Amino acid sequence: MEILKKKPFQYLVIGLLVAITPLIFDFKQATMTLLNTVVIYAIIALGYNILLGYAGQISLGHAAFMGLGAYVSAYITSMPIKIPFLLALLIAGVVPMIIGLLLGLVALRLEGHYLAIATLGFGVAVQQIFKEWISFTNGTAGINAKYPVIFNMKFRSRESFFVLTIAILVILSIFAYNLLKSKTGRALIAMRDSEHAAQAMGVSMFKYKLVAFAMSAFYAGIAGSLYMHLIRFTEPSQWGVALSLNLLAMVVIGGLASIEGSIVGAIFIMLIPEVIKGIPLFNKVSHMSTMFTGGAMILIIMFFPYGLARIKYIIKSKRSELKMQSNE
Amino acid sequence: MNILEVENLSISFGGLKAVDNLSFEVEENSIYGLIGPNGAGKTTVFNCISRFYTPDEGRITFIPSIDKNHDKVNVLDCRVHEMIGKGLVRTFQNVELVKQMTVIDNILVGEHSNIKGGILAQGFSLLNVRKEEKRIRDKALEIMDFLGLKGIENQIAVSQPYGVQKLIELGRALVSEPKLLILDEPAAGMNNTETEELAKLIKRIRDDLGVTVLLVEHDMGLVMNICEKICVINFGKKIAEGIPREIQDNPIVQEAYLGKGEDIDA
Repeated sequence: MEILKKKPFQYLVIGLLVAITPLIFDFKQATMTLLNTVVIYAIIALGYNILLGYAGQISLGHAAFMGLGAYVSAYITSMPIKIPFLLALLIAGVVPMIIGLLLGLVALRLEGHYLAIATLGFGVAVQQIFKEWISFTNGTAGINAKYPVIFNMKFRSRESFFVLTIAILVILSIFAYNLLKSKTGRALIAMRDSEHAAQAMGVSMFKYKLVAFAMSAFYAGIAGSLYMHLIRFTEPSQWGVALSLNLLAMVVIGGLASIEGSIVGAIFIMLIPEVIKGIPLFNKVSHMSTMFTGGAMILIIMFFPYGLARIKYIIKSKRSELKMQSNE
Repeated sequence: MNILEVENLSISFGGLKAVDNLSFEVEENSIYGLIGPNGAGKTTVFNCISRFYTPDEGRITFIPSIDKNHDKVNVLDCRVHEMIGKGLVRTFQNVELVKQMTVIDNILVGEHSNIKGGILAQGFSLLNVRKEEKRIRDKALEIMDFLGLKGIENQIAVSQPYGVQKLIELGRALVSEPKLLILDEPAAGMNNTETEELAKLIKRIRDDLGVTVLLVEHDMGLVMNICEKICVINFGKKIAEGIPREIQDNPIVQEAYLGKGEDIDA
């Protein structure tokens, strides 16, 4: 069966299976909220991986895009004129995307550590704007948002919202997969490995740095919007450096330049601490989960530097090495 | 008819004049060699033609098609990434492949400016994008066949031996169907047998694919073997130009390469 081997088809099937799991098993409300957040972070991690893993451009200010998506979405869905949720979601992606283009212009002039610092500054500045621009964000008091309504269907329950987030993750994964398998993906990777060679082969640095930043900002904005309508409250302190760094950890641990890696990384960073908290022995020690996650991160980087998503390749090569040795 | 005309090219870095008032012409369908001792400015000239450097003075004209006069390209008006679309493509002295990509994907990078389809069309994998992918894949396979690289298309580029990597880079340049191919020291790091193979290949590229070749080279053997015309530069200036025989017998060239009597320490 040729179609079974196709990645987009696999994403679709896995997405479908995961989406209906909560409908079969009865999870607690808090667990469902957590699962929803994991999927939302998988979306932003996927976008961030396009930037960091594929295009090789760093940003330490991506939390700002997610926050912007959240605020934009909350703002336009609360306007007196009715705007359908899906349109609001799209706008919540497009607005950060435009700001992302501006950050891409910065990346044309800076690289490596300097770009990291510049984007860090960008993130901090945007977070300040969230605090000060009261008419838009309601400052540190935070704002509320409504439940999303799509075609008269209200996504009130966590289970139905989960179907929505999974559907969007699947669509965005397939989109990313297709894009990265074609001209744009090759151009981004070529740019990452050698800017000179890429340029000589006709890849415009201007275009593709902007594309990388814009796309990852779009994904971040979509994630922000979904987060906003899931939790239905946000305030500026959420969109700080900590989130940007978490994002970096997700992508590196999951696997740079891997779509599955982005998702695995998000699951790891979001889920492991919660699982640890649930273990009776551990929850007596405060911050045990943070310590454990930190330790696990170090071990993963040491032993699986290419990320969790590529473990199977490492096992495969180790196995063939062993086979070779035993043959000798 | 000339395909490339370089007129009065000059560029300096700081106080050093790397290229000084250099002019030469490359005839269409020829193999032209640009040679000189170490530090003569060969690679600088090369980088000016491929637009990585902008010269201080001079003109570079590229005439991809002899039939139409209006097709003249003022190279200095173009950006680096636009050159391949005009039909002028280069390779690199130290092979610059995308290491973790498969061999065929590396070659497909060379097709970048010939592929149609916007970002949304690619993301949704529309029919026209899929057709384009099929078309360029077939084309890449043809080039691989031409270069004798058949069968390794799905292997990772970095795991290939150095000589093969050089061929892959050549394939990446050729897949764009260039009119002029400029090679930066293609024989660097190769042994004698490999250099001989390369010489045959460059001739085939010219004869079978109709691509004009401009060669910047250190290896005298290769240049004397395949080039129809040679330009020798030293300290950024042209010191001789002619057919291989003339160049070999030219005392100024011999002096530049081997030095002369008491000047040997220079």
